[in-house]
Amino acid sequence: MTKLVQLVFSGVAIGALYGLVALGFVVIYRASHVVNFAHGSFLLLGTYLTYGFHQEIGIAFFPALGLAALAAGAAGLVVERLALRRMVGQPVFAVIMMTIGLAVVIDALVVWKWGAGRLSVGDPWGVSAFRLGGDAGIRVAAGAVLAAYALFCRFTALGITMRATASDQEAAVASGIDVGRVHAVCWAIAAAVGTVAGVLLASGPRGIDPTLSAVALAAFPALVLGGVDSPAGAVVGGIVLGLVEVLTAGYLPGLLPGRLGANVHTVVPYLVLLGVLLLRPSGMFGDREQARL
Amino acid sequence: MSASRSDPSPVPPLLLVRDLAVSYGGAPVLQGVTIEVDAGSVAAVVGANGAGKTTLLRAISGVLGFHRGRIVGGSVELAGQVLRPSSNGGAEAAGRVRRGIALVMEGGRVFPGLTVDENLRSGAPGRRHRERSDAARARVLDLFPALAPLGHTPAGRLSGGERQMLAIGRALMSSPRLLLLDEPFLGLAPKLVEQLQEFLRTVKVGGTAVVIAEQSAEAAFAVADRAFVLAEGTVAASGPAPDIARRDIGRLYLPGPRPSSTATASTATAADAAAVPQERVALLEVAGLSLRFGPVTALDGLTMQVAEAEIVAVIGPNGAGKTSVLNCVNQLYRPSAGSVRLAGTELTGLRPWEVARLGIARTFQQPALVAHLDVVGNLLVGRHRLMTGGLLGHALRLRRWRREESTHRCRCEEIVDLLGLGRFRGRPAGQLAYGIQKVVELGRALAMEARLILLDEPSAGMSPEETDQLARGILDLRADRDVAVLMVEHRVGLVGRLADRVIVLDHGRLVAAGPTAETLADPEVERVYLGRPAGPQPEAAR
Repeated sequence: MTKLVQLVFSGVAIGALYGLVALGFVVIYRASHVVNFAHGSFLLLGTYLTYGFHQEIGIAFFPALGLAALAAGAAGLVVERLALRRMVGQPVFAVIMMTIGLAVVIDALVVWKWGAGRLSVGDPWGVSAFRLGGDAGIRVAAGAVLAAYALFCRFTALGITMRATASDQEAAVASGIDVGRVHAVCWAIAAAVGTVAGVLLASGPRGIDPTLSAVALAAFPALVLGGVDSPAGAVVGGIVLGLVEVLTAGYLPGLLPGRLGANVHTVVPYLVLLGVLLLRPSGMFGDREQARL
Repeated sequence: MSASRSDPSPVPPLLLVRDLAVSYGGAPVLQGVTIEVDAGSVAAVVGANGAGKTTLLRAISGVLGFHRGRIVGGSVELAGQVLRPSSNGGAEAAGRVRRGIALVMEGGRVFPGLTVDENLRSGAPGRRHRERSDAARARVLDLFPALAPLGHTPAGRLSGGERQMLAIGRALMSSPRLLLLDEPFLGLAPKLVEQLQEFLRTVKVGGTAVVIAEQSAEAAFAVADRAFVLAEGTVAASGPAPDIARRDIGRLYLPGPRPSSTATASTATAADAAAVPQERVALLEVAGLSLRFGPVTALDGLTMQVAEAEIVAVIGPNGAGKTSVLNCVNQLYRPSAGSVRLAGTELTGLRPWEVARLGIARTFQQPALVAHLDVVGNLLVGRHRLMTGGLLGHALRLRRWRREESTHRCRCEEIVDLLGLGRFRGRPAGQLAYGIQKVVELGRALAMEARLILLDEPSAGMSPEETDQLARGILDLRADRDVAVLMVEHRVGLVGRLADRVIVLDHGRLVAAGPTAETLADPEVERVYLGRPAGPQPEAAR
């Protein structure tokens, strides 16, 4: 029983992280219908910037994280303005290829500056005055970011224009919403949220190295599970994914023979994904292209 | 009203469109269009579908770039200042909203996932001052009191009329000097049309200029000072609205005379007027039909019938549950109670496609066509249930299936000719104007060889000639193949011309039913639906 409780807790923590990463995809997809394959790289950039500000320049950890989130957000803004905005109306495939190209460029820049080796951010979430304990800290931080995003969308004017743009771009343009600006803001938000997610992933024993950008792909099932256009879905999808992964890793190896048992936890999330997609092709919370008839 | 037009004033008109030419990807849509609108006046731009009315409004409001359209000649001036097109489509339209130009797109395009309040707030982007935006909101709710209690309702749940009000309200949030309305009267019940006309009269007193693009010139001319007739991308005629309404060219675009509805009166004297006349066989039987969404009751114990080869119209104010009746018949909605039978077969519990296979076709308020297929392709989709060859057979193009397909194609071509769609034959449906799409949709219903066709506002967005063509198509079809029609329609003229019987709904309940002429003359119906004292409507020319 204790094992179960433990597993559930750490599953939720991992899941919250997946959700946070998936949220970055959702924010951009909702606004511009682009699946941003460079998201993992923005996450990587933000995490390394935090490392740079904190360890190399010596700024205290939380201000460093804030600065890095701002800097990554600014990078997102610039990329949107210089590259993506020119692609409006171009085939979706071309836009996706562009984000893949961006990913390669950003990853290369990071390796050029910081090298490919593993660095440690230390245990910033355990700073003595702020001892929350590993998992709990992650849950609190991820929850805070998600709640902040939800409140932002519901109550601020900018949040409402973002949702309006997601809902009907043409009507948004006609209502005087500067859709280009909304896209830029979404890229900035995604990069900033990605920074927080990256730092949470990197803190503790894992450390940072350039493979961190690959976790973005690991969050993909969460994204599809919840529905690519639903922020709430991203969170729930992430938590479901985290739980499934941790629980199968915790229980199945004992039940299955040898090598199959040892690796089954990497496969099960995708089996769940397949099952959900068969039943609900737009994900659990996705927009089913509803129309009032 | 526009008496001051004769003395030349030094003040430039609020809107001056000078010699405007617009093209989409090289295809010219507008050429040499010149239009002048003074502050505090209403201009009507009328014309058939595809004449370029919507494009004109797009060019003025700056959303042309979003549609890959380009101004290739001429200019748009607001109060003497030339509005320059910018390379950044989104920013261009936003800039024009700030300068006081607001566009209301056709079809009540609201943000369905946002609440009514949030929709309104999104209409005043960049408004940092909460109190000013609150004041604007209060003005809008004052104009459209029906929206006031709906503040927290998602806009996707509103009825067609409420959406139109919300879309206009959203545009008013930016306190525009120039209000552009694309087909604002589309799908509105006569009572709402009058409210909207009244609203336009108040708005122009406040100094706002209004441009209305309309197919149904009658409703627009009732409030317009000047009228511009657009034909194939150029201004064919312009002048004071009453003059245009009287002249030949104007008549071309005016609705036909309301037929004296006695012409099609049925002889039924059944006690229950919603049932079919005794001597006829009921094809569709609806009994005790109720539909609830949570606390909202859309339909409340409705009982009605449609006979074979009978045309029945459902009328009533916006939000009365008319569309819900159609949706319950073809099982898009699951009724909460009651039964729906087609020739004795119970339909409740069936899937929508199973209902379609039993021979019920329907069209939608918003056309739902396969955008990339051409017109004939879309009609072929409608014949899907009639095709016998399997997927493999078609894929291998065996001779038998080729023959089958060519039979179906022939039938579709007949329908294309019947509905006068010939010149749009090869165009992808997504590129066609709204009204044409509605005709294609009717064609698809015809192609299904259905026994019962459900039409949701067939005439909305159609020019009078198209409506006329449509009406003849429906009557021919009924005479030809004994098809029954259940339609929701706002144009009383069309209802009078087509329907054998009329069923009047209000708040989901049957208010009145019976032969068309008698029912439309019923004082209770006049009060609930037409919102005016009994008697024929004032008629324009012809």
